[in-house]
Amino acid sequence: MVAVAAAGGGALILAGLYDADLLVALFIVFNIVLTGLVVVHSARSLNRADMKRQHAEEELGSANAERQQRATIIQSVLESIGDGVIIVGPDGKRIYNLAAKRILGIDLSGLPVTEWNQALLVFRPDQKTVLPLDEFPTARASRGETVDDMEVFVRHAGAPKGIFISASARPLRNERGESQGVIAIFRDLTTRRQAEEMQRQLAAIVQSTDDAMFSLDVGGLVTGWNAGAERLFGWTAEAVIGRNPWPPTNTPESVERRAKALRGERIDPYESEVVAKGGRLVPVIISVSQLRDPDGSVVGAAVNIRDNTASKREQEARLRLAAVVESSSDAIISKDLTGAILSWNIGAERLYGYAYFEVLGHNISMLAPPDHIDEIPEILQRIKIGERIEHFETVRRRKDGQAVDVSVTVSPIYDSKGVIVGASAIARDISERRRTEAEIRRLNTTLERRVAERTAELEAANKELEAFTYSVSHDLRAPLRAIHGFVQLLTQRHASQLDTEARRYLDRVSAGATQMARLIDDMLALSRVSGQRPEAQMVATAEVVRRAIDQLAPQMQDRAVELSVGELPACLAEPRLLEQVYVNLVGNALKYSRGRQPSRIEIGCQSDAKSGETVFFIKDNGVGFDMRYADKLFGVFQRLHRAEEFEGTGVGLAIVHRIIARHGGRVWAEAEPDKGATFYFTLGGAPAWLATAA
Amino acid sequence: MASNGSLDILIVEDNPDDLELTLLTFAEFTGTDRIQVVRDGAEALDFIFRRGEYADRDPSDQPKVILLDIKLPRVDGLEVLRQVKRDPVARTIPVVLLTSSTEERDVIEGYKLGVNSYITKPVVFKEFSAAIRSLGLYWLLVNRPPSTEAA
Repeated sequence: MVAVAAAGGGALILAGLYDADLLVALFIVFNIVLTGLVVVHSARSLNRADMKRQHAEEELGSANAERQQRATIIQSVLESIGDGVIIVGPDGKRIYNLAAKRILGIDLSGLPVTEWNQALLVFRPDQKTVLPLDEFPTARASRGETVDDMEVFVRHAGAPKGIFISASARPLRNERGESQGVIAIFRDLTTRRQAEEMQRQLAAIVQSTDDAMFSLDVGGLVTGWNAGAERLFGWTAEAVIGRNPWPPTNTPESVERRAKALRGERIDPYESEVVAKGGRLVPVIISVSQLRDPDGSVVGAAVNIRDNTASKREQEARLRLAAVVESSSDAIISKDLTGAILSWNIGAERLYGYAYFEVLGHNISMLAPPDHIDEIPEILQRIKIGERIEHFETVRRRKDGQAVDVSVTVSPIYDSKGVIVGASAIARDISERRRTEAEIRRLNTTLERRVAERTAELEAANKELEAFTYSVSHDLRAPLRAIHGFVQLLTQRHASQLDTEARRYLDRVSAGATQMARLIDDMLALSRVSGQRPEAQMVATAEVVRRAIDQLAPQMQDRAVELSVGELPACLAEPRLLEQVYVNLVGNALKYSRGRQPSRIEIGCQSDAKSGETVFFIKDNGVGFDMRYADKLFGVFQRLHRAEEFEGTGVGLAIVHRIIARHGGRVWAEAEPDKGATFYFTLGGAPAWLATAA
Repeated sequence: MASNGSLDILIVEDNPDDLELTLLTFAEFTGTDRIQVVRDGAEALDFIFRRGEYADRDPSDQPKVILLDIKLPRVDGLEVLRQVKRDPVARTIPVVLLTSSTEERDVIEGYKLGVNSYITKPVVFKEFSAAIRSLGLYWLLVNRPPSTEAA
């Protein structure tokens, strides 16, 4: 007997002509189907007993009408079977059912069956080796073999890529055991193969995906667990299958989601955190879908969990950047390469007065006043070739039409492939700076004018002073010469006519004139020091001191003077002025120590304990002075001694003071009456004029 | 005293006191009275270049030395000096700037213009007369001027 894998139903149309012999076989098939035998792709359940029963029934139904009726039924059964069925009669005639024709492409070939047969290519499962004709299932069955689940590969006009077919075949015999032909049943394996392949691929995907994927039953126990889940949670499949590894969560959202899942409602992917091995919390995106049985009832859930740590971080970074952009007081604008505005921050709203919805999509040139409109394409052109425009100072127009001075930096924006897709512009309002600059320029101009005015005034004053000095030096001295000269003539040529008293008076007149001449000379010297612009240079101080002492030689004649000069470092000074300082100070030392036997004068230098500055000093053992009057020491015409004791004009130290001050240094003295005096001075740092002259 | 004219010294001085003291000194120590006095720069130029009231002066009778004060009415001493030293004939006459000025710029300007000597008038008469005396002796006795033909 032949068992046929069958399913479904439909009208039976036999392609070939029926005859009585063939119908015997069909009748058998029909009976099997009617008795509701389970469809098994196997012929193992067939047995001898069935064959006998079939044979008995055949004998029972001998009436033509009955046969006809049965044939109709068989026909409809055959056509309703999804598997292909071929029945080969004892005379070699073949019957194909609808499924057979579809699988083997009989109708699609458009050829008569005999010719189609030639065009059908049948291979072994390796898809290359042609199956010999005597190995065809039908051929084997006709030799009495039983063929079960033989796989072949078939190609024909309707399936040029070929299909796999699983075929079974049996010989057909009557009750007498005589061969009645062959029946072959086969099905297209391709769909199943594809389904299996898809299944396999899906399984591979599930295993290989980075996402954690697992399935749960309705009780929340794990039923499946992929490699991603092992990675994300840190638990192996063995450890979690059949268990619920998570601590229970009972937030309102989770309770609601569970309820929804059980009701079979759709659950949108959501962001959450899951607890991994060791209690570690992982930010994730969770997708849940229900698993249903064939009836459609929910039997569990498939869960896909994506680790969201990186994108979370990225998102936070983006949010931070966005916050920076938004909080910036500068206008930050992005645009595409045509200049269409894509983004517009609050700074831009403030600077230009447009809200973002007023400008998005508009061209950036809307901000340029007519006389600056050409800049826009120029900037975009430079952006396109990857240039960056930095601190470009220009003018833009606000919504209210007001011009605003801005400094703009424009950079290209690249997409992930490194292609320039737009530009970002940062604009800063520099109106205030511009105003300040203008104000500074104005103030500078004013200042320059004032300086010029003051300089002119000062020059005029200097000229006047020079003229005054010049006239003093000429005109004030002339009358003194006359007084002095004629007094001399009187005393020399008319001595006999003068008594002692008269001569004494004339001496006083002469002395007065001499003193006045000295005053005039000193005053002129002082004014010259003030008027000169000293030119500093490196000076060998010892050499300067030597020259000063040479000048003072006449004052040391016929006197006991012990003069010691210590080590003196070179200094930065105007040499002639420094010499004048030494002449005046050493001159003073000589003058005020002339009563000593001997005069001791020490010239040297020391380092200031605090500042480390070089301090020059001139020390004498003269009459000294009372420190109470020290503040008068360097004043013009100030004297601490009576003229009868020590001659002088009170200008020498004023000159010293002025020279030292012009060098940026200090001068001071220490003294005690009758115990000598020490004068100290420094030459200071390098004042501006020193630095430039050096 | 080498002399081929009637004149030894031309004194250009406006201050009568200085003038008298100078003349007294010269009279006392050099013995010459062949001194011509002019009282300002313009007169000095007239004399030297024989113009105005000096137009008829004997051209051969040039002073052997000119004592020239710097600060003078009308034309100042430096201008007189400039004109003298520019003149191919007069430039051979030695010129001594005699002034109470101690201004360096006068000294420098004087030497630039080719002055032969320079002396500051001291206030003390003794020194003044000593300066005048040495000056007179030097120029009149020691330093012989080149002959006008040679110039």
